[in-house]
Amino acid sequence: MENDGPESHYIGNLWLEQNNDTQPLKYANSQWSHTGWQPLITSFIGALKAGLSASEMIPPPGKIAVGAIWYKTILSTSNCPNEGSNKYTEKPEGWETASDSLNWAVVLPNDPRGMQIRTITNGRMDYIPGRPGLNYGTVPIEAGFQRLELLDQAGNVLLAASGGRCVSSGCPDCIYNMNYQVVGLVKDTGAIGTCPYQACKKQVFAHYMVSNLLRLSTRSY
Amino acid sequence: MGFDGFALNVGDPAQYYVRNTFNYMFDYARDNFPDFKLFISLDLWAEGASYGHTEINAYHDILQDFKGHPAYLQGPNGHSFVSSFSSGGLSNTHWIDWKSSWGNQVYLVPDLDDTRGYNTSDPGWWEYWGDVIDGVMSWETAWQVITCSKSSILD
Repeated sequence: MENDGPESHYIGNLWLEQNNDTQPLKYANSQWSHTGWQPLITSFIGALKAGLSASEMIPPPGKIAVGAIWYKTILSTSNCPNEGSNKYTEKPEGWETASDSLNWAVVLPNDPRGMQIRTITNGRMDYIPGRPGLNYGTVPIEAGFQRLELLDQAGNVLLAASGGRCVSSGCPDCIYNMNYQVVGLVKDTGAIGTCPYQACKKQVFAHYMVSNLLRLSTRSY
Repeated sequence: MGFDGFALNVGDPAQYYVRNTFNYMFDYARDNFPDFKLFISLDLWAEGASYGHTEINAYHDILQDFKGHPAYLQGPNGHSFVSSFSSGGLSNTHWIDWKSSWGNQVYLVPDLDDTRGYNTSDPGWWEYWGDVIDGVMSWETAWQVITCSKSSILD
């Protein structure tokens, strides 16, 4: 379920034996779980084995829907203050080709009964009408909190993907961290999101203090 | 989740944790999920980086010890399924010799996408490799080619 631990397409556990360098631990650790993708894969495997098309995919038994959002947590305009001081602080190859996007996929039942998908990026909302089977898309992402909701015909929130790390216009990890936050679509936890200021902690001691105080006061990362 | 098995892609078979991990995974699959199969992929690209040159025989012991395990995937010809990442720069005769060293009791489905004509299924490629392999595969859904244009990570 993973290859070469620090590479970011893992979907399962990260094992220390394959992930024992200091640098990868900054971007591939318990705060970067990708298990939110797994229910989508279950749905895909079911359709593949049954010879069904994407629009014929169905949620696994017992689920209204499955889905996830995924996004990188810094913007193309982000600058890391220590860029180039060693090989780890360079921009990764292909950096300039990545777009600032909130990516999502949701598998709905054969009869979605007027369901809608609502993406919320830093408060900006986009609505997408639900279609049978696999729905997927991407919207421009903004720095701040990220959330996706599955709404019923009346506009009630059935499920939500939220609570992942905020997108920063800065460089909280001190490296050009391109790993995705992957957040699964689950029963709504009500997380609306706060985005405490995260500085590159190595660089400015004062910011380190502020960031730690914020962390203590909010108990969030 | 719905998986039928895993490829165990091994970049350095000499690492201390390889055998312990294999013991655990193979026995666990056999005892708990008898339909779930595992097979070894020779990551000759990483292995070459570790050793400075391709040393396919470095895989001898783990293949010897696990290819007959009840949880090891057997190919349609009844022999143990073996894959790879890259050709390791080995020629067709190298691979033929390697298969012979196993008495040809191997179902070989390598990823040879570092060889010319592999991704275009060139007739010349088949002429050169056709008698060596039992099938072909690719890992490239996980590693996209870096393009010049802007693209979404959704692609």
